[in-house]
Amino acid sequence: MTFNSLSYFLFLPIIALIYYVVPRRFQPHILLIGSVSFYLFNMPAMLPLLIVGSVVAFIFAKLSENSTGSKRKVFTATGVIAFVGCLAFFKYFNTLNRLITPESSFSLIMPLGISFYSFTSIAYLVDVSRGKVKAEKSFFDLFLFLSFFGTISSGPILRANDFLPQVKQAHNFNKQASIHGLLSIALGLFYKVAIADLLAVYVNPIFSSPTLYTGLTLIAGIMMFACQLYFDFAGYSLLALGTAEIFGIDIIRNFRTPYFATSLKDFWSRWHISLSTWFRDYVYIPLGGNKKGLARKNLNIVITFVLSGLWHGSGIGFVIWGLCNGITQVLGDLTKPTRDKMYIAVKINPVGKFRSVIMWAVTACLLFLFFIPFRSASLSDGYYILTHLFTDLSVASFFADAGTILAVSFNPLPLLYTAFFAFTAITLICGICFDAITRYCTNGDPIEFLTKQRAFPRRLFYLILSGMIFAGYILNNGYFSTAVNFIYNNF
Amino acid sequence: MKTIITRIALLALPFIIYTALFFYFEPYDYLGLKGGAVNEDSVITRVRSFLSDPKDNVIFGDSRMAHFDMDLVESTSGEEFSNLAFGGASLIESIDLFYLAKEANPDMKRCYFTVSFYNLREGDERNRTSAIKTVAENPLAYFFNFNYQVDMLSEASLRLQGVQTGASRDTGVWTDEDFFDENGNPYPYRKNLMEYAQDVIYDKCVDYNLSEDNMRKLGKLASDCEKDGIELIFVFPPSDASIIDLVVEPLGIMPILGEVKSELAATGATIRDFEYEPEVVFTQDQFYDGFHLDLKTGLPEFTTILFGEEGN
Repeated sequence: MTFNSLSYFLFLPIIALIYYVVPRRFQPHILLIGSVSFYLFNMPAMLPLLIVGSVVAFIFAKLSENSTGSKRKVFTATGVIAFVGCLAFFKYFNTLNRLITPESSFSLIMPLGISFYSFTSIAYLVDVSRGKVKAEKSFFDLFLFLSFFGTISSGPILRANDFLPQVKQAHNFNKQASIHGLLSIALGLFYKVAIADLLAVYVNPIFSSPTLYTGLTLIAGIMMFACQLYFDFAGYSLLALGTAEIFGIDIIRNFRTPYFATSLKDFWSRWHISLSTWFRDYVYIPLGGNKKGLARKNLNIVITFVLSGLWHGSGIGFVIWGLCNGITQVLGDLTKPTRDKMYIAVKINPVGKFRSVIMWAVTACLLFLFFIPFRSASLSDGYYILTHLFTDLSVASFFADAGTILAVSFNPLPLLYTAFFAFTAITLICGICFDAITRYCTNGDPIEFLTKQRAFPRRLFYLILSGMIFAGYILNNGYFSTAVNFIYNNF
Repeated sequence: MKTIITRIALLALPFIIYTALFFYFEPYDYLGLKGGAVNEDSVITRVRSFLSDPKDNVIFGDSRMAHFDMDLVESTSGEEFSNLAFGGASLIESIDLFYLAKEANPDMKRCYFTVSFYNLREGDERNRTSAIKTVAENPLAYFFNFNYQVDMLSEASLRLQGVQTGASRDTGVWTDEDFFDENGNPYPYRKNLMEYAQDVIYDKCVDYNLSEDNMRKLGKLASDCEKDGIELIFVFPPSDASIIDLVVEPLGIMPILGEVKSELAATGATIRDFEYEPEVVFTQDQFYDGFHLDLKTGLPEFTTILFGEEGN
């Protein structure tokens, strides 16, 4: 069961109903029962690991709080090392095993949400050690904090001082918050079901056999993967946000229209915000941040991005992706004064719209390029894609390739795959337009824009949105014969 | 909360109406409310029918065994049959369906299982059994299945235009053009039989290799049948001479087919061969295409031979 599986729409209302019916003091217990049930539905065998993780976080936070000086540091470090070690074991075991014993077919299954609850636990332990939060007295509240079903699969990475006080409050049913939550869920479903998973039908075959394609098909494949990844994860994050809102809990908004960023720095302040801020607070700043001179600052940036790449996976492609991001950001910082002078020399206003457009285009191109190692199955595939982006830029080949890909991966009938292509193009354009509205017409909350509209257009929009989600479910066979998963579940 | 529930219900109304229309027009009578499917040949109709009322005698295979007139089968054999053969079934799918059927009906007595050079070839790894089972057992999986939505829309479109719908049956009316070229010279085989052999079957059998994996699975199936007291009959269904002459012989498949027959016979199962060393040879008039007997002439005769007393 994931947020987009049909069973979730039975699970969520049942938990919500019980949550508001029971005496308020039992609300955290209901959330905990819901969270444990959610985990049991998905990966029962790995629940003990989650429980052990929670026990470790609980004990080491207590020990750390009750001690001082180097002892406190030792307790915190031990807890952090336990989580990093466990995470590294599950993330890199398969890769190492294949390197050491290539003939072995054994494969370790990644526990659901381990990347996210490990980072949440690390943040909690460090915050307790820094005195920013008090060690949680109730084990069950801490367990709920780490296992909350709204965030366990792919975050956002929660902070104890945001989440735990909310759990301890009594929550009465709030109509406005619930409507906001339901609309977030609807929009998240639209992003996931009607855009991301339909783009996957086109993108996956290109990246599984890139050598069959050249030119525009490869370029389109990269651009569509960028859209797929964004709408998949932003969709998931909206679903998580909406789920939490229904229970009266506010969690961090993980995306703020990142593809409208005008620099890599700007992009990383808008993309997977809970992870970016985690790396800032628990890696970059402890490394010295910008307090130890320019060279060290730049090194810290590169190290942080490489570690971010490693967090995404064990493949060398993720390391290259992290390196590319880190080095480009450093170069961007270093060359900024020169670039500013250059713009003035060619009479372009350094803070004008024209420069913003140029910077947006350059940023987008860099991001697309960096996605090549990130998505490619191997370095040789990535190299092939990179070296064949501009060979045979024929529009006819592009459409012929698109037809062939969809005929194989969707349906062989031209009428049906053409309709699929058209529907996906429409939903993608709607998604991009909606993001543009969020960026330029609101303070970053897309739901706020919707609720401000007059009744008729708003209701019409709801109907069209529901229709597109419904069609998306049918095109995905209701997720009964395809895998129900979010891309970030794999990281 | 009431306001929210009312609004959600109002928003859901168009989709509820659509759902009702879906189950009104869907051609397979999934819910069993319409007194029978428009298309009885579909796998979903067959599997659901079997799961709700499993018979002790079951037919497995592809389209060559899918189009029997079941009333004729039952009157000929004197026993009740379920037919789980369906168009395009791969051998793996038929094997998996056998185990699904055995699980649903542990009292299965007799099983007619289709084997042929065509479905024994290496490389045909399609297996939709798990999806078929999910759709057969879960109405939501059926409703949200894209292909069944398309089938429903096609059915609705035809019915609204007043066109009679139903399974397209294998039967044809042949004219001189089917037997003679532009100059009046006779074709060696009826034109559509040649085209079927050359354009549809030949390419799929080039570089023919027998699937050893499937042969192993057939051996296991035979031993499981023996263990459970199920009478197993391997049926090599009839192929037109055009298929033998234009595909099987030129590609050197005939000796392989002989080995397959011997190997299957060694399992102790009964072999009914209408392909390699046919018990009965059907004429080209009795075939609709190279693999499918004509519904009016060939198939009734094949039914009588296969399920008649002499055959048993």
